[in-house]
Amino acid sequence: MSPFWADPPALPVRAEDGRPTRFTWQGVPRRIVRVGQHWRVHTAWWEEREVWRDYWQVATDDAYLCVLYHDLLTDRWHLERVLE
Amino acid sequence: MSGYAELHSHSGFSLLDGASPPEALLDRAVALGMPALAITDHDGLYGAVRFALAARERGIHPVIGAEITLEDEHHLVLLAETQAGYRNLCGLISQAQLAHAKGQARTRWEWLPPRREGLICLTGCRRGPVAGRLLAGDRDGARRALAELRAIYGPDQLYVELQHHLRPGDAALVADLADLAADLKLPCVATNNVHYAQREGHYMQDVLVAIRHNVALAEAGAWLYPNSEYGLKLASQMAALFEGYEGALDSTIEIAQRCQVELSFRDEALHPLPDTGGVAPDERLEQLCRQALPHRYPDRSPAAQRQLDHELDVIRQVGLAGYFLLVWDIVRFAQERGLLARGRGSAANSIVAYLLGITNVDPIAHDLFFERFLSAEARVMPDIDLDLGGARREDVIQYVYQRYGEAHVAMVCNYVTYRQRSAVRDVGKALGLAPDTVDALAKKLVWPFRTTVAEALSEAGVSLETVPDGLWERFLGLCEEIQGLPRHLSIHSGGMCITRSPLQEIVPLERATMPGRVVTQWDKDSIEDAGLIKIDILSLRTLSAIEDALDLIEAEHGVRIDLDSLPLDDPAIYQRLCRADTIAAFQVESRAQHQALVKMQPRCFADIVVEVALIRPGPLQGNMVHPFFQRRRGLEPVRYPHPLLEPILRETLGVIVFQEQVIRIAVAMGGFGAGEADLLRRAMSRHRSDDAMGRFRQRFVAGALERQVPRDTAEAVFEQLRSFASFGFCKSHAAAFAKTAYDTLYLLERYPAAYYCAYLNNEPLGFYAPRVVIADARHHGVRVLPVHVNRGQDVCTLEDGALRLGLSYVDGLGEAALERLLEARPASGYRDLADLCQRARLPRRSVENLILAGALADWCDDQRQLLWELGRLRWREDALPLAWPSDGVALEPMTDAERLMAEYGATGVSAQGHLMELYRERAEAAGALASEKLTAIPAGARVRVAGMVAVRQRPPTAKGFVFVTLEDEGGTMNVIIKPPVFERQHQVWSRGLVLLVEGTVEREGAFCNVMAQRAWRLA
Repeated sequence: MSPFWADPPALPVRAEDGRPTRFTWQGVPRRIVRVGQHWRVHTAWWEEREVWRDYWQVATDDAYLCVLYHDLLTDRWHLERVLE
Repeated sequence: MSGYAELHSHSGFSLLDGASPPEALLDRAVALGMPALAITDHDGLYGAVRFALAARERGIHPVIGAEITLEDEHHLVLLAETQAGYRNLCGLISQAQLAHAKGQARTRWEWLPPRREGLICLTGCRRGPVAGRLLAGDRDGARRALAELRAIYGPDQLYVELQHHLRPGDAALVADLADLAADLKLPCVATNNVHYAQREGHYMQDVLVAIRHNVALAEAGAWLYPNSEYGLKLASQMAALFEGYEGALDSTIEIAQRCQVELSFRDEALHPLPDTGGVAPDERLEQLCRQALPHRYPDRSPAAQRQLDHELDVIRQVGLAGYFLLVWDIVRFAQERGLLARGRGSAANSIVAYLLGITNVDPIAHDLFFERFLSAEARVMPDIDLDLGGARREDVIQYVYQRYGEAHVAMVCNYVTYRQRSAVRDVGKALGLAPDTVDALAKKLVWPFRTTVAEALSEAGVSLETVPDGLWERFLGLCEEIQGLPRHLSIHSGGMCITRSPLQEIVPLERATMPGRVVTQWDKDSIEDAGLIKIDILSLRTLSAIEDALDLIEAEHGVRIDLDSLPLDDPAIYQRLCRADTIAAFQVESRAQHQALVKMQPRCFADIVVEVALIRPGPLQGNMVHPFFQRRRGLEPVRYPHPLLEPILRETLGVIVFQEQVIRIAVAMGGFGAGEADLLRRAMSRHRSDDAMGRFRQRFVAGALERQVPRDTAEAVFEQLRSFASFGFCKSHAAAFAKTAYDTLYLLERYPAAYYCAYLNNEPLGFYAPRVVIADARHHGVRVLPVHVNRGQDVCTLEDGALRLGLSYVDGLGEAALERLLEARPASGYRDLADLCQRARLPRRSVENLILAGALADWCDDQRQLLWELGRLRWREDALPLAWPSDGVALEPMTDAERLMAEYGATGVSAQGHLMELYRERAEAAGALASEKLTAIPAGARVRVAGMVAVRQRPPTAKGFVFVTLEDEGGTMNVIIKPPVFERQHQVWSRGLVLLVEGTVEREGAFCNVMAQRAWRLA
């Protein structure tokens, strides 16, 4: 099962120099133990939804693989996808 | 140096790819503390000279290079380390460009080895031969490609390029490339493949890519960069991206330090003439000048001798005798073939140019200034522009190619940049705006009403609902931003670059759209800055008209007029100028000139020179014109900022008008050397950086203080110089043009039929439509004869001293039909309508128009009758005519008015009458005065006038005022319309063809204007 949210709500995330270190999901605080891929996207500005995001593929201390993104326009973090 | 230098970047000269001009990239580099920068545009060095100069001004070390496209579409970056490397780079780029169609430059792999010396190769971006193959999963292929590059460039001239744009997979690619590099013992270098100066530039860059692929952004996904990481970055940002690869960052500094190339080619400049008969160029030049001295100066003027000695000395010092001989040779070639070739511009300051016949203005008599053209200190290449008339200009261009060889001659390019209309169209389409919206917006920008796109768009009344909110702001911003970016290259009208070394070693060449033409990648400014020789061979229709007139005069009167020997003091000509009777005269016929001439009242040649220099948009804006005329008419005292300036500004009543005066002032007050002063003038007119201006100001003020000039006077004068320098006109250029103006006035005064005839035959030319010129000819006593089927040719001709209008004026008579008509015409002429139809086999419509134009008037002066007859001839183009027997039908003859309308409708001109005759009754009934009566009306009186609209103008400098010239049977009238009056009756003023105007008379001496209040359309 690989939940994916198209328009996820904001996620409380702690970050250092832009790199995420902790976040809270489903009420449970989690620590990030490993950061995998990191990439940035800036597109769709010509429609009404400009997208400027930093994506992070991370592994948590309770063995979840997640993809988070940092919306650089709003400075909010969101959880996009969870892999088990 | 330490930190990071960007070695792979694209400026706006990577057409439709780079979003920032070179200066913007440099400014950003300065802000980021970057010690060096390379601009590597696609297959070209377009901006290189501009870049190098701007870099030095900002204290950044420029690295010269390019990104070349290989035949298999891979990209490779080549940086020039040494001059030899630079030559090789130019050669490679030229080869790639010339071997393919325009815009399709491709480099073959096998061209790289012979031209590897002095180049440093970087393996390129994701589209490079190594990275590209790695991305395609072909590791072996990537290794082989790298090994091949290593074989060509060796381990000291080759770096594996690493890029990281925060794309998925970038980190892995970097690691793979670094592995390969280590494997082959090659160093790495980090770059950012920059396409814009700052992150915000990525919007523009996306738009450019969409334009390039001719799609809207919504469809351009495949070609757009996925994010905005392709701007210039801080050393610390690059360090974060390349953690663990610090060596790659150090490499950037290392490479930048190695690359030391100068883009200064003065020594390459001259191509020695193939033969000067074994004589040194300096000697030959002196020989030619001294031979010509007694012809040009029969009075053996000592001033002329002295000036000649001085100029020859300077020319010898700067080593440019060959340049003068080269231009002399071209002029000689033209003149031997009966072509007028006249030097214009600053060259007319030179007595050497005058003696060689390159220019025809006497610099001694007109007090001109050689150092404006050439000086030892300025170290700037002189610029000689030649005006030629006519289609034979191409012969002259071909001559230059033949004489010096194709390897040494090329045309100079011109960068066509985005303007308002093209910006709106291309950006609008990219943003996906509806085609109708884009069209409306683009069209509304025709008439130059407003100065910014934003205002223009609001005037266009495009509703904001058609576009999403935020996008509208962005659209306007992008339209502004894109203006000034180059769109494509074209050929500069007549600029030719000629060099001693093969051109390809100096500047890359590429194909022009004109077949067989090759063009430099640098424009005229860059060519000049690089110290290369450029000659402009321009075509001026007025010279063709003069040439033709001289031929006609020779045929009619048996005399060949030598315009060069005309005395410049003919009172009749000055009288004409004083009453502004100058339609069809060169340079002095416009409405603005008319107004000025009346105020100026020119009495001598120097007055014409000032007139030509003053009446241009620049001085009008720069507030020079008004004070000058106030002083001229004694309404304001003549004042000089300081007594030192009196001798210099006396000729222009204390106002700075000429560029030469700027130089002289810098010398007299600031203590500059003449050459140095010219550099100041150039810096001022080319808007150099504030630092450069600051240094000049200090120098000027210091020099002035030494001359006991009070500090605030010196500062004020410097400011005056600065504001006038960009509007000032080159006096010698004004003098050269004034001479041509004088010549045309002479011909108009003494041989009007011949000149009007030649003038009409060289249309489009000048300020007025042919019918206005024809009316003017009649006013000056020239008999004008209408088109005639048996007399005259396709062009206008002289017939017994009268001007016969040419058959080409007849509407619907195309070239082919005209040719048939003339060829089939027997020596004794066509006998009658049937004979004409049978022999010439013209389309029916052409014959109808001939009839309406009055060309067959000799056979029957009633056009209706002729038309009837035409109808009765059962005739097709390809069959014999059969005439029906006369049926005795009597037709009502045409009235004069109808005849006039017919002639006008069929030819657009009228030989005999004036269209206003048709409206005369209505006009008079409404109380309108004829133009001749207007001159007697006192100032302040209310009048009505009527006439055909001859000219309609809304000059950008005139603050919204509109000027209309009305024409009637007797002459012209000037109408001025204030902005609110214009707005109230916008349609009438813009679209009316014949107007009735009510207003108040304003007078300027003998000259009057009607200040309009209201208008009605009569047509």
